[in-house]
Amino acid sequence: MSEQTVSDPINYSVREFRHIVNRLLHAVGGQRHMVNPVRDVLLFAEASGFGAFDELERTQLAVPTYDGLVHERGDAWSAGGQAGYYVAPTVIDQLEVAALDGPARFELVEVDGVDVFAALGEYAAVRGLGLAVVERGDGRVVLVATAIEARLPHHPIDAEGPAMRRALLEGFDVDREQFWRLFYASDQALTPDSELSRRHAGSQIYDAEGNLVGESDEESYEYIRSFSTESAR
Amino acid sequence: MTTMTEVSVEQRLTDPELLMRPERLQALAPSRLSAARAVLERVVREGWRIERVAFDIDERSRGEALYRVHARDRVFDFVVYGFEPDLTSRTGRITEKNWDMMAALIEGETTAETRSITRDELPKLYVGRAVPGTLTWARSNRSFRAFDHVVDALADGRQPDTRFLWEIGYLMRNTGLDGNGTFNTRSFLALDEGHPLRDPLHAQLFTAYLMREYAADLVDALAAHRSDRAVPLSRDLRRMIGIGNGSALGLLFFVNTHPLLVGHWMEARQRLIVEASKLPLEPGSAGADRMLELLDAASAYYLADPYVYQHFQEPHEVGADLAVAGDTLREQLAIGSTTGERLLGALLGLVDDEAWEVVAANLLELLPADAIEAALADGIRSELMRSQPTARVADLRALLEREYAWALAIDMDAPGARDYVWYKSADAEEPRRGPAGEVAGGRNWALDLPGDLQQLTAALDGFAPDDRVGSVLAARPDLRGVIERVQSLAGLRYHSPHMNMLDRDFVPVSIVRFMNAAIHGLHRTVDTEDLRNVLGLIYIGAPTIADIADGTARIDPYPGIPGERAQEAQR
Repeated sequence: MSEQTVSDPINYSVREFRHIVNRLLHAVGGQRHMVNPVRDVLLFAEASGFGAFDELERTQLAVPTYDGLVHERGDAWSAGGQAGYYVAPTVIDQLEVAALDGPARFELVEVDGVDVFAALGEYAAVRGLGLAVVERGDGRVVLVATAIEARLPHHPIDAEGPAMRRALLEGFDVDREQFWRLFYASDQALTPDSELSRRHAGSQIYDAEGNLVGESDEESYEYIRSFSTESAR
Repeated sequence: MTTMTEVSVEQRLTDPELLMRPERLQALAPSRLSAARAVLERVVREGWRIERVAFDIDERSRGEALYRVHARDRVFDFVVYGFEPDLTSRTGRITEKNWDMMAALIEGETTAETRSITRDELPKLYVGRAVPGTLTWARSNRSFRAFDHVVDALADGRQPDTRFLWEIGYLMRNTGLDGNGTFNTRSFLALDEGHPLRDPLHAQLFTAYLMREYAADLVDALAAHRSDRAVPLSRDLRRMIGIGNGSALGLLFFVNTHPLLVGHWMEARQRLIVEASKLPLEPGSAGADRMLELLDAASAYYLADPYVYQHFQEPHEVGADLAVAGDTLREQLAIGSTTGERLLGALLGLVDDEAWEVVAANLLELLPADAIEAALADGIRSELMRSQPTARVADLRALLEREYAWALAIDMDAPGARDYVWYKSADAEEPRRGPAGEVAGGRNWALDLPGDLQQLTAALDGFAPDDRVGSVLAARPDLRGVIERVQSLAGLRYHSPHMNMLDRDFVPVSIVRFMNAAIHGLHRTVDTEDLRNVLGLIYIGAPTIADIADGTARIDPYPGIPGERAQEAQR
């Protein structure tokens, strides 16, 4: 549900967002253990109006260099030039710990793309954290967080906040061309097909020399006792 | 043969160390909590009305059909598109791209426009778009042997060979049941509380039920096109046939990515079985009589199973074990009051796992419907994982040691422990599993829980017990995924099979069968020699829509061959 209007929109589901972004992050070289957490940050952000697909396209070439770490720089923390969405899980964690002792302030510098943090209010709220962006500049953002009571939803659709509720009900609208561009780009995470690879699916039939001669046919019914011992009817 | 006679029944039913091993999971039987059975029970109990609004299929099987479902205060349309069979490339695999029918289950009454759009979009599959309100997309192919045999017989004015049909078990086989957001279908999380198909997987399995009805209508129609002398398929045979199904490695990925769904469903299942096992079974009571009836029927059903199994236990042995179970219950009742727990206890060491699990699953038949419904409703969960950075490292370590002893004990450096990788092929995204050396450059989509947890445990050595987990997450983002998973699933006992799926000796069909038999509720879940594929039947012996309409619908978990005792069908 990006706030920007698109001239030729396509509507797609939360599941499809997760599917495409997950694969795309794998395909462009994201760390295995960061893929799902980063995907979830982008999902919450997209649900809150952030253009996640735009941001992914803008930064995808740099993803292999990202490690998700932030480093102390005096009074601030440095993302070392990484995209905001990639270090966001770490930043929110740090704020959640700091907020145990009262309102917490976090200044993040050297970050590529700070707008995502303005769309992470519900992502933080699910974690019992009230999040506000108090300053935002070029490569710099200042966040303030307070501990809040975690919600106890009546219905599972409400578990992740109103924006995610809306996304689950209505899906997202995005430019059709961009959707398919990312959809096909995410297919790069798939493994090319080959005869050897087809063996890994099972159900192939080989001759005594190991040559592929075909695939087992469900019409053969070799698993039916009488069919395997009697002539076919 | 189980040797765990020293383990209590309740422990055997609830201890994750005993329950979550793949060889045990593969033995879990279909039950009232299985999606196919649960939704059918709801359909019958609530008297859903299913009408055939249109059936415009020509003699070459081309055309459209429309079924309308009236469930509670809702209406759903099942729109079917028939195609002339193309005999090339019939393997039942996901990579196959020709189907005899495609269909969609859509909320509300469809219009000519939405049906036209659906007809155009369905064949595109992964690049297709479902119209708003679509719950599922489905595809199926016919079993030519059974299908042609039936059409020939009906056109000739007679009924087909019952035993032949019983052995194959289906006229059409499912080649895809997709929903929950795929192709922009509706998410089950988005369905409101009064929605009749709200529970996970129910829309997919109900679609299979409707698919079965279409298959029977199709043979009737084709026979009628062919001959004026044609007769319709008898009601007994309509009831007997199911829908065929083949599943493979994709279900491993499903289990890995739906730990909350699996975990809560298993928790409900095992909790209810324990609850049911404590109910008194008085001699001559309705409950005791029902259990005896079920065990006898189950024994006959397994004895009549015409399939040959590879890795799984021979069903005739299961049937013999179930006869022992029936005898044991009779002996107990002859003495006086007993319980399911006492029965299961007596059977420990006396029967194998599969029969034991059939007995356990049947105890659920003793519970009222609202207990089943309440358990199902509690299983609707988002799979969102999230970290808890304020927890202490000592707590995380204790959690790992308490809930993942099985994973930490696996020697991941042992020969063969990391031999295999799992991946998805560019060919229709087919899931595959192969030796690591044969998949150069391929991404490994396996869930390496043992390896990840051992890596996490080693990393925790570098932190003080009082440190916050946030410190670990900040220092080791490369472990974030496993930390989020462990913390999100804390306290849930049955979310992940205790397996090393990278191991060369790992048997994938164990988990495929767990999904298809226990969770989906398929019968005759037979494995193939490659240990990757599990075939099975959905809704064999289930009441038809005519049975539901005239109030004669009876859910028989272990149907026999019409007109003869199932036990006599054994060859």
